[in-house]
Amino acid sequence: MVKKIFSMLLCLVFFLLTMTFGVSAKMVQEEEEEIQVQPRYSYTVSTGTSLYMSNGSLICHGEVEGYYGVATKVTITLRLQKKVLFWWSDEQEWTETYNQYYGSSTKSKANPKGGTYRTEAVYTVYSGSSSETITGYSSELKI
Amino acid sequence: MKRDKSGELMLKQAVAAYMEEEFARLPSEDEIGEHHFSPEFEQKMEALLTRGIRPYRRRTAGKRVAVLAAVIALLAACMLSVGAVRESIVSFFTEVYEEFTAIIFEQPEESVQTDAAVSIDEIEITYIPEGFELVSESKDDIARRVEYADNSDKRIIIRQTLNGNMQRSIDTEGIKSEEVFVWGQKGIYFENKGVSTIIWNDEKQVFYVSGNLNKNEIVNIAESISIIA
Repeated sequence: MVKKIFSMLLCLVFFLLTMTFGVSAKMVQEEEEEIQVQPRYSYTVSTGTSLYMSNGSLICHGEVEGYYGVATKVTITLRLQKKVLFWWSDEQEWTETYNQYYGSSTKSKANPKGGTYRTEAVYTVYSGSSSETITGYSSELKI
Repeated sequence: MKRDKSGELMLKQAVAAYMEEEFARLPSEDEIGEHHFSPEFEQKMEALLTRGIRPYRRRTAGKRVAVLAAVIALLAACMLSVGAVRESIVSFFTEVYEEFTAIIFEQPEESVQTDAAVSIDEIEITYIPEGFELVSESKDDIARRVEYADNSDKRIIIRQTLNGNMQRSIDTEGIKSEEVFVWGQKGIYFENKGVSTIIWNDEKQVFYVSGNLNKNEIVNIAESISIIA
């Protein structure tokens, strides 16, 4: 009887552990999707996020186009991220503000170490005192 | 040392006599009568006998179900991390979400990024609708942005950006995209909130033309862009 109860408890613990990881993975995915979706692209027409290797430097680029007559200011935060096992680590961060309905930011990091990188760009588009935030990612680049 | 055989024999005889006396003291079967075991004891025996009779597969069914559930849970956890299915269009993928469309540009194998300096090509725009004038132009090695406006404040935006593992997202809430051809290559066209947008790319850069115009005008502007050799 004790063996049976112990076995069932072990199965339950194992089940809960795997579901926790699954839920966490889903939450991370949902979190990334939610960041990209909210708050509904009311002020933003388009964003573009990219990453290049040129002359020994990694170049991060982010651009955002708001709706003319609606968007009044944009902020672009670029983060160069490096993959460490299963996570992304921020290597460097830059923020620029543009008092107009569009913006474009290009930043570089010289002599990066080998690894897999991507650009994370956070675009905040203002319409007066209201704003929306959109996060974009470049594809990965392995150097 | 010699074994004392006579002593052993006497001991055996004494033990046998003692055992006989002890058994004689015990009540006989007639005196005991029929014994009834407790209900709890009977249940336990019944369970033991039933378990012994059941075949091995039935006895271990519960364990096998538990193992199967654990495997399914593990597989489900792995599958939950898999991204959306993609439908490729020429050299880029689109992922359509509820609020926006993500366009992911692939790097062609033959243009794998090297350590050499790269920059966008010089271009010439030969068609802009009548009434529009240049209001701003900015350019660096990575990107160019050109903006035109007319008297009614309608705008035309042209962007040219190096195709460096780019992902572009477009506000496409509630609308569909359609394929168009620019320079003989497939591009994507959207129209939303009075703004028409067309996006296409070559091996090196991504082009984006957007404006408060109809589709034909946007396509004409896109087609008029040429790279200066």
